[in-house]
Amino acid sequence: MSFNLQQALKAFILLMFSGLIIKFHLTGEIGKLINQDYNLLSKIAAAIFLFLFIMQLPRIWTKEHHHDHDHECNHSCDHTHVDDQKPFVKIISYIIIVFPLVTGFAIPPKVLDASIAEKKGVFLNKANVVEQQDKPLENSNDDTSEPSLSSSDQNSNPTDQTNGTEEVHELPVQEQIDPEKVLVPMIEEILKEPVIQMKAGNFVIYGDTIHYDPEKFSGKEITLKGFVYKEEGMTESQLVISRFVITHCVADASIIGFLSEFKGAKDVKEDTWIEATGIIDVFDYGSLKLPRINVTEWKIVDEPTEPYVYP
Amino acid sequence: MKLIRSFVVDFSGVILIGFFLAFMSFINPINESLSGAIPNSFLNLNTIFMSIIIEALPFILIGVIIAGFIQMFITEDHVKRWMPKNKVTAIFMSCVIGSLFPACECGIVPIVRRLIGKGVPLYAAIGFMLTGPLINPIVIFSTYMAFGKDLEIALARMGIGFVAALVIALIISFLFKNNQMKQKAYLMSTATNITGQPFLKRLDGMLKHTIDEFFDMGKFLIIGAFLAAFVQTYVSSKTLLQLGDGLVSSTLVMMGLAFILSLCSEADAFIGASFKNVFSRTSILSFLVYGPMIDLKNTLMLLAVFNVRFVVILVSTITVVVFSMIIMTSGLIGG
Repeated sequence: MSFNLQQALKAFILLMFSGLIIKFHLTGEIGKLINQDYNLLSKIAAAIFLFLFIMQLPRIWTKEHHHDHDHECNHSCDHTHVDDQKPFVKIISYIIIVFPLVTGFAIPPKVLDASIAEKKGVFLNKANVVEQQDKPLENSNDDTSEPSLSSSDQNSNPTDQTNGTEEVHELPVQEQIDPEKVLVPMIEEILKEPVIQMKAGNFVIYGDTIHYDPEKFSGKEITLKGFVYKEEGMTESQLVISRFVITHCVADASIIGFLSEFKGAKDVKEDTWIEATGIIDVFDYGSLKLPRINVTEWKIVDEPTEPYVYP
Repeated sequence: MKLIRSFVVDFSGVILIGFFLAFMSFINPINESLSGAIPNSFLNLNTIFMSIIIEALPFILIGVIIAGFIQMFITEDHVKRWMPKNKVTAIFMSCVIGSLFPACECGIVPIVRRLIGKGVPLYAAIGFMLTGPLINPIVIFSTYMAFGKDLEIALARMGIGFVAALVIALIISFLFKNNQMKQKAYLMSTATNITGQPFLKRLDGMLKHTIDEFFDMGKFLIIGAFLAAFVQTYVSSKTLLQLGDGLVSSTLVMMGLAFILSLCSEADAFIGASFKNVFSRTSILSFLVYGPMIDLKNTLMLLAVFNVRFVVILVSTITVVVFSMIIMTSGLIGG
C-alpha cells in the first residue's frame, strides 16, 4: 500500500471546511455572517463535507503506486482534476482553497461598522420616494441625507432574540411590503404605543413605516438603539443611529437608521452604540419629507449580541 | 490484506481528526492576538468574504454533487435519446429545462461541463447554463419580494432573460462547430464503461467525482468571493454613482457591477433592489438579467474548462445581447 499525500491533504481540507462551518455555528459567529434563516442549509453543508471526508479517506491508501485511476470510471472521466496539473499550478490551487480556511479560523468575523456604512452609501428609503428619483444622490455637499433601509421587502419572522434585555415584538409574517397594504396599517399600530420602542425584531418594519409617512409620527416619542454613523456634511449636532439589515449574508447588508440631533453629537465617536430617546419631527429633503429625532436623552451602551436586524 | 487496509484507512481518519482538534486548540490564542494587529478594513473585508463563502458553500456542494451524479448515472445514450436533432428545438428545450432546474451559478459550470462531456451539444448546454441560474422558482420569488411584490419586474427579468438566452445560444450555435472544451478537458471523456456497473460502485465513483469537482471549482468561488468582498469594502458607492448617469451609462455600470460582485442569483434581487432609488429601473433590470448569466466567478470557471477564445466570444455575446435587449425594452418598463 502506498500513502498518497495529495489525497490525504484533500481529506484534511474537507474536514476543515466542515470544521469551519461547525466552528461558526458553535461560537455563534454564524450570525455575523449569514441570515439566520439559512442556518439549516449551512449545517447541511457541514454534514455533507463530513460525509465527503469519510468517502475521501480510502483514497489515501492505494493498492499499487499509481495515481488514482481506480475510481470506478476508468476512462470515462476527464483529467482536468487537480491530480494532473503541473506542480506549480497545483500548489497555487491548494493555496487558494486553503486561504479561506486560514482566514476563517484565524481572523474572527467582525460586526460591520460605520466604515462599511459609508461605502455602501446612503440611499433614500424606497418606500419614501413618492416619485422616482432618477438623478443620482448628491454627494458630500448634501447635509440632510437620510440613511435608510432600501431592500426590506421580504417575508420572514423577525429573529427571536435570545438576549434577555431585548424583547421581541412578534409581528405576523409579512407576506408583502406593499406600502399601502402593510405600512399604512402599521401606522395605526405604532401610534398606539405611548412611546415607540424600536427593537431588533421590529426595527425594519417600524423604520420603514416611519420613513414612509413621517408626518403621522411628528411629535411622537421614540426610543431606539443603534450604532453611530456620521455622513459627510452633517452638522455638529447631527448623527445617524443605524443598524445593518441582512437579507442573505453580510455581503448584501444595507443600512437602516434615523437622523438624530442633539447637542453633544459631535463628541460621540462613530461606531459607538447608543440608546436614545427623543421626539420625532419632520424635515424636508427636496420634495420629500423625512423623519428626524430630536434626542432628549441618550446613553452609551454595549454592542448587542445580535447587532444585525433582518427584514 | 483488505482488513489491514480498512484498518489503516480508519486509523488515518482518526489521525486527521486529531490534527484538526490540535489545530483548533492552537488557533484560539492566535485569534485573540491577531485581531488587534490587523487593520480594520481588512477585518471587514474578511467578514464579507467569509459570509459569501459560507453562504455559497451549500450551493456549490449541490452543484458538484449533481455534476458527480451526471457523470456516473447519465450516459451518452441517454443524452442521444432525449436531445432533439434540430438546433432550434434543442436550444428551446434546453432553455426550458434550465428554467425549471434550480441552479446557482456557483454550481452550474461543473454541471455544464459534464453535460457536454456526455454529448450534449455546446449550444444547448449554453442555453441551459444561461437560464439555469436565472429562471427558477426561487429567483422568481425573491425578485418578486425584493421589489415589494412587484410582479412586473419579476416577469420582465424572466422574460428578457429567456429570450436573451435563446438568442445567445442561437448565435453560439452558428459560430462554433465543436464543443470548445479545452483539449485535455475533453480527452477520454465518457466511455460506456459505466453502464452495467453495480449501483454501489457507481455511487462510490460519483462521490469521488464530486470531491474532485469541488476542488477544481471551489477555488473560483473563493477568488470571486474575495473580489466581491474587496469591492464592497474599498469601493464607495458614490464613486459608482458618479459613473452612471443616463440610460446607457447607468445600464453599463449596473452590468459591470453585476459582473464584479458575482452574487448568487437567489440574493441578487435584494442587492439590486437596494439600488432602486439611485439607478433607474431599466439599469437595475440589466443587473438582474446579466448577473446570473455571467460574472467574474463564472468566467474564471469557464476559462478553466473552455478555450479562451470561446469564453471571450461568449462573454461578449452575452453582454451585447443583454444590453441591447434591455435598451430596446426600456421604453416598455418605464425606467
